[in-house]
Amino acid sequence: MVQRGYSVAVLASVGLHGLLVLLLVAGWTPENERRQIKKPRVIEAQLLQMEPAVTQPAPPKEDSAARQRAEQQEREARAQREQERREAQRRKEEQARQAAEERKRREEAARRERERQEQLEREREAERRRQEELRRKQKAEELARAMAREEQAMEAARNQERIGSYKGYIVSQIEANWSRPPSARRDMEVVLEIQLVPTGRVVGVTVVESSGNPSFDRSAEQAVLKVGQFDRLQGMEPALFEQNFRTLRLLFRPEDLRL
Amino acid sequence: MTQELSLWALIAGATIPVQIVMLILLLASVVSWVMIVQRGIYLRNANSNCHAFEDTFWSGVDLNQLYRELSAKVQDIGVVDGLESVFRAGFREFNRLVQQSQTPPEVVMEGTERAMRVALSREQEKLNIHLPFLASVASVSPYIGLFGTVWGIMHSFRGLANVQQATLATVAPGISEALIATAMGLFAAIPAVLAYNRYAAMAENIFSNYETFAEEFSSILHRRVHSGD
Repeated sequence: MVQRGYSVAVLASVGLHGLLVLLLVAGWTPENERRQIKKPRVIEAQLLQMEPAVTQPAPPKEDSAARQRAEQQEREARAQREQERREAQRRKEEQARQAAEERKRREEAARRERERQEQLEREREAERRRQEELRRKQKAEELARAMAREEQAMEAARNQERIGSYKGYIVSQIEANWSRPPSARRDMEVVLEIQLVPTGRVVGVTVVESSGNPSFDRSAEQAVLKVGQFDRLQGMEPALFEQNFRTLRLLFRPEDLRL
Repeated sequence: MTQELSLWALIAGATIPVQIVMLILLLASVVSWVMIVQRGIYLRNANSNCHAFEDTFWSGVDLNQLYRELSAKVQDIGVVDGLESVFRAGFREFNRLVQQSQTPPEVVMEGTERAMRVALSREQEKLNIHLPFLASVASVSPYIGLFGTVWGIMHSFRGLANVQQATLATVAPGISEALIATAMGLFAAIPAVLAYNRYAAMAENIFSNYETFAEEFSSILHRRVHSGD
């Protein structure tokens, strides 16, 4: 059964392909025949020379008098024609001259116009350049200002830092030399004002706000006087010193010192 | 008059690789059509045999009788297919095991089912034979055709490089002959795809019929072995 199936299948397949090839081969050629190119009908044309169809009039045959008169007339007519021709010539020349002048005038005007335009253009260009220059300068100034501002801000920050460190130094010095009295309480506060000179020496101490306990006030005062000299303040810039350390207020509390 | 454009002239004028490609595709097409026809006949027969056998089986015929008939058929034509084979394998094993009197029923059922499983897997193999070939032809032959086309076009353009005045007429025959390869590839591939899809579904269907029958048959034998004791 399997064998029979195969033989049938082989037959069918080969038959199918053979049929297909036959169909293709048969169907291939007629299609090409149909594709014959139709020739377009061509009408041939030739250029022929056009010849003027002019015939010479036969010369009149007349007697001599008539001919003389005719000649006379002819001459007059010719003279007149000549005259007219010259006239016409002159008029034409005149016209040509006028036209030339006109053209020259127009050209002149156009040239002037162009020059004016160019001048205008140049002026505009210069104006624009000036504007640009101005703008650039402004921008540069702005930039410089901004940089200066930034510089200042940075400077201030640096100063603030330096001031902080100096103050810390002062506080630590005073604290090291401060012996708190036994009567000191936690809520006591005394504010001292210290006068300094640029060498760092203490030249005056005054109590600004008393704590109400004289011994506590005195102990604070003593601590400042005991330090006497803040050595490290010597290296400070004068401006900074004048601004911040010429007179210094210090807040004393028993637990620590506060500026 | 159009001698240089006839089909034979185009094929004969093609370069050797393109001709080889065309030959391969022609062979693939012929062989795949052989497979298609053979599978079609086989699967249709299997389907009708399956239904016929099921009708016979459920018509209340004596199973021993049926078995003897099938054995006679095997003697006649040498081979049985499909459900008949499953039935024979199962029933033979069942009878052998039952005749050994002290075999427990579980063992009988187990052996019967195993025998039927083996027969089933043989049948599945028979159903699916040649289908992978169809699938290969379906997926590969367009590429082969495309290769032939590309090669032919390459060739014709290379010829064009030596020509002073390139016109359409100088390339057209080359491209035309090259395109024949693609056409052949598609011609081989399209029937193969269709046939593969159809036959795979059919084989699946028939095999699930077999499986159902095997289950039903084993349940009948199960009943018999338990009531016979």
